[in-house]
Formats: sequence, C-alpha cells, structure tokens
Amino acid sequence: MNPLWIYLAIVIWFAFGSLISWQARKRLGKGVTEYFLANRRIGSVVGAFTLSATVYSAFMMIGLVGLVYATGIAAFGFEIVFLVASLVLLALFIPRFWIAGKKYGYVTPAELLGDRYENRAIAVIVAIIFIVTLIPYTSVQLMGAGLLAEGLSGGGIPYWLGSLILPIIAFVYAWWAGMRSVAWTDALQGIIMLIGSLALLAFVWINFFPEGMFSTIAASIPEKLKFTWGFNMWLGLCLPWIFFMLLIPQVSQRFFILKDVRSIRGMIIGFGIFGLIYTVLVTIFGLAAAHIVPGLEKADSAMPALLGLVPSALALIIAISIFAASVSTINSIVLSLSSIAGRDIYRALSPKISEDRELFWGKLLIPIMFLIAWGFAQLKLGMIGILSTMSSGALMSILPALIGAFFWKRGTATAVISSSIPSVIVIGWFYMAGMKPLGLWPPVWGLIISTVMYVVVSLITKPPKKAAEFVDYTSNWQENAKAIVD
Amino acid sequence: MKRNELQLALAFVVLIILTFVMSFTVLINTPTFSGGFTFFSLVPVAVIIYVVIYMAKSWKELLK
Repeated sequence: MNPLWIYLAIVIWFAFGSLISWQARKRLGKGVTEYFLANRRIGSVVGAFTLSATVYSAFMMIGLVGLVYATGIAAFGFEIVFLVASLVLLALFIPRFWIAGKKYGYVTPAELLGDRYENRAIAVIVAIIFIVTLIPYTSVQLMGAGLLAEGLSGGGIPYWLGSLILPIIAFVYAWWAGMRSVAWTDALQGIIMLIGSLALLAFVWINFFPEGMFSTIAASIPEKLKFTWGFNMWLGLCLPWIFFMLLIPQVSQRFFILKDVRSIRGMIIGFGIFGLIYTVLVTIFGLAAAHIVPGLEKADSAMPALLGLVPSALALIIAISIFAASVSTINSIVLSLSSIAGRDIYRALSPKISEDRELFWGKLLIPIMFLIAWGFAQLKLGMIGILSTMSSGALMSILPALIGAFFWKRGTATAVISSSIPSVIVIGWFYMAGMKPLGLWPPVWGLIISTVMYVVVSLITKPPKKAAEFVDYTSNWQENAKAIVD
Repeated sequence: MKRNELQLALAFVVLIILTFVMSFTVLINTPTFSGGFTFFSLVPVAVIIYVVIYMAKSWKELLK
C-alpha cells in the first residue's frame, strides 16, 4: 500500500481525536486530581470504554493473533482466563479502591500502598517497580505499530518511523488535558477497535470461507483447535495475567476516577462485554490467518499478512483500529506513570512542594517515558505476547502486598519491602537468564517468594496503626459509600 | 470480607481450577470447534451473568 494513504488516514483519525481532546481541554480545571483523575467524575459508558481500550492494546490484534496463529486455541483460553478472572476481581476490588480514593484522596495506587502501610518508602519502591516494568510493556505497543506500518506499506514506512508516530499522538492527548482527554479519546478508540474488527470479520468470512468458516478451519487445521500448551507454559503465562488488572497502575488508577457505584457497575459490565467480543474476534482472526497464510516465519506477522490480502480501504481501517488500540494504552500508561513520578517519587523527595510543582514534574516525565519506550522498541525483543506477560510477571512481586493491604490487618511495611524487592529481582534475573527452575516460569517463583516473605515477616513485625482502620473502612465500603451519597 | 464476597471469591477459585482441569483433560483431545472454542466462549458469558446478578443483589441499596 502507498504510504501516503496510511499517513492520510492517520491525520484524519488524529484530527477526530484532537477535537475530542480539545473539548476535554475546555473542561479542565486546576489541580492534580482534576488532571490525573478527571476530578473523580467519570461515568459508566466512558469508564467502560477507557478501561477496555486501556487493557486491550496492540497486543490483541498483533500479539494474540500471532499466538493463536502459532499455538491454536490454547492462546484463546489464556486470554479468556484473564477475562473471567478480571471480572471477578473487579467486582471485589474496584469498590475498595474507589472508596479508599474518596476517603483518603489517593491519586495513584503506589500512594495507596504507601499510606496504608504508613511508609513513604513503599510508595517510592512500588513507583520504581511500576516505571521499570512498564517500559517493556509500553514498547510492546510501539513494536506492534512499527511492525504493522512497515508490513502494510511494504517497507515504505520504516519500522522506526511507524513506532514513533503513535507516541507523538498519545503524547498530545495525554499532555493537553490529562485523564479526561485520555478517557474520552479512549471511548473513540474503543469504538474504532470494534468497528474495524467487525468489518474485517465480515470480509474474511465472505471472501475466504464461502463454504463456512468453522467447518473449513476444522477440516484444514484441526490441530489448532486442540489445547496444545504444556502445563508450565500455561501456568507461567496465565498467573500474571489473572491478576493483571490489579497490578498494572494505569488500570488500577482508573478505579479512582468513577463518580458513583452505578458507574462501577457500568464499568465492569461494559468491560466484560467488550472483552468477550474483542477476544472472540481476535481468536477467529488468528485461526483464519493460520488457514489463509500458513507457514509464516514470524507469528506476529500473521495480522499484517492477512491485511495484505484485503482491499486497501479496509486494511487502512483495520490498521487505524490497531493504532487506536495502541494509543489508548500508551497514553494511559504514560499519564499514570507521570502521576506516579510526581506524587510518589518527587513528593517523597520534597514533601512540601505545591500541587503545581508536582504537576509540572509529573508532566515533564511524559516525553521522557515515550523516548525510553521508543528506544526499547527499536531492540525488537522476542514475541510481543511473551514480552507483555513478562511485564505483568514482574509485577507479581507486589501482589501479596496489594491483596494484604485490603484484606489482612497484620500486613506490615517491613513485610512489603522484604517481599517485593527480592521477588522482583528474582523475576527479572530469571527472565533475563532464561531460567525456569523445576520447569516453573519466573512469575511463579516471584509469587512464591513474595507471598512467603510477606506472610512470615508480617507475623514477626508490628502492623501500622492505620492498617485496621483502612481494612475496616474498605471492607464496609457499602455503608461508607451510602454515607457519602447521603 | 462479607459472605456474598466470599462466595464470589470461591467462584473465582473454582473457575480458574475448572479452566485448568478442562484444558488438560478434555480440550487436549478435541480438535473441533465444539471443544475448546465453545468452552472458552461460554465461560465468560456465564461469568458476566453471574457478576451482573451478584452486583444487582449485593449492591441493591446503592444502585437505587
């Protein structure tokens, strides 16, 4: 495809997004809560779309299509385990995050942990873990965009440029008007993602499977319909994915932005429906690609190869939908990390800084983060799907601390520090060295270490005074929410 | 944790175990769409319905 058409489509899409962002800008008030949490006034529909578009990224249309293409239906199961686990965890945790945010004024999940354990160092440690682990995750989005633009244009748009355009767009949305702009443009991106995918499904079904898609695939590639993953691979990839929603700050920060309990319900139901439709569609694309373009050297090239067979106009719509998925994820990541840098790191160094200074330093990190992620994307490390789970895998180090914060009054600050640091070091070391002792993947070892350390050290140290109050207040969130409403 | 939340947490554990057990027993031997594809498509539908009912019943006072 002529690169000029791709550039033109990106300009039109960016113009629409900018219009929405401009509207958000007009409503932007003052202060950190306004900028990073849209003043905690986001409703059901926008809440559901911003959560869905933030969670479902280029990983789906590039990485998961590639995983299904290479390994079949097991990859679908892996993504479905994530979806069902997320729905249950959201119903349990969103109300607790939300009511804690209302009561104590939290802006970031790291701040919540630091305050609950009454130790500012915890907020700093968790903030650093977030920043370090989310760089590969952000770069995954840029890799997807770079591969797609290069494949679609036949090399006319080089990989480095394709992976550079999206951070520029995401930077504008995030920088200009903060969370409200990001959430509203996410709604646009979510709609584009669904429309693009449905259009591709219709075309592929009609043109490549005239005698029925399911019967043709079952006859030509039956091995792709069998569950083929080994137990350790399944466990190693699923485990961090199950808890992904709690561990990734750009997701858990969204639990603070909702205006009421109806919005919480709307966000959960909307996310479930969006996730189910999108996951099924993406799986069908992976299976269809395995039938239509078999034998590709790189599994992640399955979607670009499929797009090479559809009319240019449709391919452009799909490409834009994938770019939309990337932008909606990376602007959320970078906005979240910039708030974390300002609130949890800079404020720890200078406790008396004004909100304006905190906002200034937080925003300063936005372009720096994008540059680092873009540089990392140029290394083109591994399969996109594996890299994504590696990021959430490293965050398993803080899972016991997070669950304990809400459910265990005995959990202590010393336990958080002595569980998260060794755990994240071991996970990172095992990943980099390619080590899987006893066949178990790094996140499994990380979770074992962090859980044992957290429980043992908590039992031999004294819990902070705030622990009991915090656990009681968040456990009784319904009564407390009613009091707020009244 | 309240009783209804414990039930939800229990459902979570059962679901995860179910998907693991089904994957390595039944689905490993079913090279058809009526195997893994159908199973993995129906599980989230059931969970969405369950969570909707859970929220409607447990959060009734706050959703009025």
